[in-house]
Amino acid sequence: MNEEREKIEDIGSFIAEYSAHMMGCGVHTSRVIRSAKRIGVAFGYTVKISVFQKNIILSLADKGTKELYNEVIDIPALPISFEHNARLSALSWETFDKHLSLHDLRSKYDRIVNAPHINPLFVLIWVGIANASFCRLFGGDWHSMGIVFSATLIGMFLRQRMTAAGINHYIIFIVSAFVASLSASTSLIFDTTSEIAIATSVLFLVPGVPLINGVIDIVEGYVLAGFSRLAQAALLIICIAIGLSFTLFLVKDSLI
Amino acid sequence: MNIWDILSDGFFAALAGVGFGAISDPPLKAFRYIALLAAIGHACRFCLITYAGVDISTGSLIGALLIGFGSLWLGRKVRCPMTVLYIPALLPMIPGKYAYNVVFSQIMFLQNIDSPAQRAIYMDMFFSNSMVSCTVVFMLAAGATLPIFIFPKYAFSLTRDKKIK
Amino acid sequence: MDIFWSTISQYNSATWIYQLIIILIGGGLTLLLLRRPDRWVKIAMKVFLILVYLWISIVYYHIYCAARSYNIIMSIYWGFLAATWIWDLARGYTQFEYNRKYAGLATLLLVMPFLYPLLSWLRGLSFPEITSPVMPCSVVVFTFGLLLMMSRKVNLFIVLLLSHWAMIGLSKTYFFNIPEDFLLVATMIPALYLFFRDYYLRHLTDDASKPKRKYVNLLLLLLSIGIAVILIISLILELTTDVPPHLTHFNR
Repeated sequence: MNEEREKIEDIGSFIAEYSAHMMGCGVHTSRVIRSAKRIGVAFGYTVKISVFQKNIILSLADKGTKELYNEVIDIPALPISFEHNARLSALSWETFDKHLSLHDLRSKYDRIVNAPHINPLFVLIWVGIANASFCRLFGGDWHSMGIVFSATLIGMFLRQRMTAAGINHYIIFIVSAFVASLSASTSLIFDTTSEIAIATSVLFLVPGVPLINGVIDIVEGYVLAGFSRLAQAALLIICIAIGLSFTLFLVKDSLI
Repeated sequence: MNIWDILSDGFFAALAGVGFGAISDPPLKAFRYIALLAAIGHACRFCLITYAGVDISTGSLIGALLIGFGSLWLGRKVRCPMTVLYIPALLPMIPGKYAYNVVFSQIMFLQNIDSPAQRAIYMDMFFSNSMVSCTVVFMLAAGATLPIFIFPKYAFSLTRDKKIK
Repeated sequence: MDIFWSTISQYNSATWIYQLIIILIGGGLTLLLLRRPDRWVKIAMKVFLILVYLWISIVYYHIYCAARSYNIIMSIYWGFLAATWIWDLARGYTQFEYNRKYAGLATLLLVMPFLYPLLSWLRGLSFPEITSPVMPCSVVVFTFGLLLMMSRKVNLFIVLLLSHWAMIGLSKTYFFNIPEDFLLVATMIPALYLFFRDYYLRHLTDDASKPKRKYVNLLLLLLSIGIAVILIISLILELTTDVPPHLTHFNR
């Protein structure tokens, strides 16, 4: 392998892109670091990596020639993707086990990253079903389930369209939470579990992935990265609360 | 003990897990395992709370542990990192009703700032509900992550192709 | 029950002349839109829709349904719908471009508001305690028909809001024994399916979709069938169950 060894700067820039992409699409810090190091080892380099919330500092070293490669990369804001998480992790093992060339590695990486994301209509319908089931779990009746279902469709549709239009995600969360809970508040005209309907209608927005990743990062010792994820999740939750409270202000007299 | 209640609880938790999982773009083959884990975890918590009189945070911890170990075992089958399976499976256990009460009591507290008796009630409601929601979320994440610490070698190589070694 | 029909009766007897004007303007604009789809006709149609929605919000719900509990929530909701149309007008989102593909179903939907009082009449109701073409349910169906007739580019957000209302309105009237409402909503389901399919799946190939296009389509189809089945079951339940005692004055 040593004769035709890949250049350190090529490997370095690939690992930089790879790890930034993984951080961006919602992989917890320790996995990113392990996978990046694994790829480095597969090509015979030592990888030192330090991860912050917005950037990654990376340095590759060649023990033999004392060559060094440094890079600071910005983490892009990507939609969360477990598919990328799973397949990019598997790719790092494949590189390690099969000694892929950089060219193969790069083409496999591009194929994974450019594969189609999950269909928005599929997500929309399933999120509606999920929120309706959630309503059921909290003790809502069939009636409120139906209302939560269509209220969620409205909120989620708005979220998808606004995300596609590139609007600031705090505003997206406030508006979607407001519209979804306003739609669910129409359940007040029935003698049904409307409080549960309003409460569950906004839950599709809960940023579960950063929330749980944050706790994982903290318990694994990446306290800074963990807290930054939690802070981000907390801000989004506050946005949901703001949107919900607009609705509650409008209908609070009916709730007590 | 009503078997029908438990089954329907698991069924709706599975639907919720799949739906919330779909937002985060999981691999298609992972969906059935997410559904299975979500159903088992939530039904377990439901049983513990309803029939064994366990409180919600302990129940969540045990449910999350079950999901964590389950994802360790199933992750091997689909070559998925554990988090891919267990984060969507945990989402149906998020204490949404308590979180809603936090927001509601906060608004009512601010509305009733001039009447001490009302204010105290909503203050109490605010703190007890936020206590429950924060504890449960932490328990969920910590419980599901515990298996990683117990079997680190195994957990880190779930996505490795078994045939090559 | 008594409140429900007495509000409708008051509304009809007080506003029938205005309702007639609204129907005439609406019919005229629809014909114009089909014959000569000029820019000003499209804008006039949107302004007309905004006014009708505001009419439902203010005149129907806020003034005449004041006796019903929680009329204010419905009023807010229809106000929100009108606001969405205003946004649509400002952005020029909905284009009202004629689409021949679904003309049959669209015509059916457009005719429905007129069949609506006719059906009530056939069931033995008489003016003013009768459904009319300027009531929320018929306005919703009319909007659906119009959008389907001109379905090149549709504001799906409005479609979703309207279907949400349809579901609420439907479960509310379940207790008031109005099978016409079910019929109206039933005609909306195929339209709903077509809107979503065109919006999301028209330009999609199997390779560019995860999961495959046919599975997403299947999910959508199953959902529509599911809603239709629920509707039919509740319609049968409504028709076969005995009229509760407090409704009997109605069958005198």
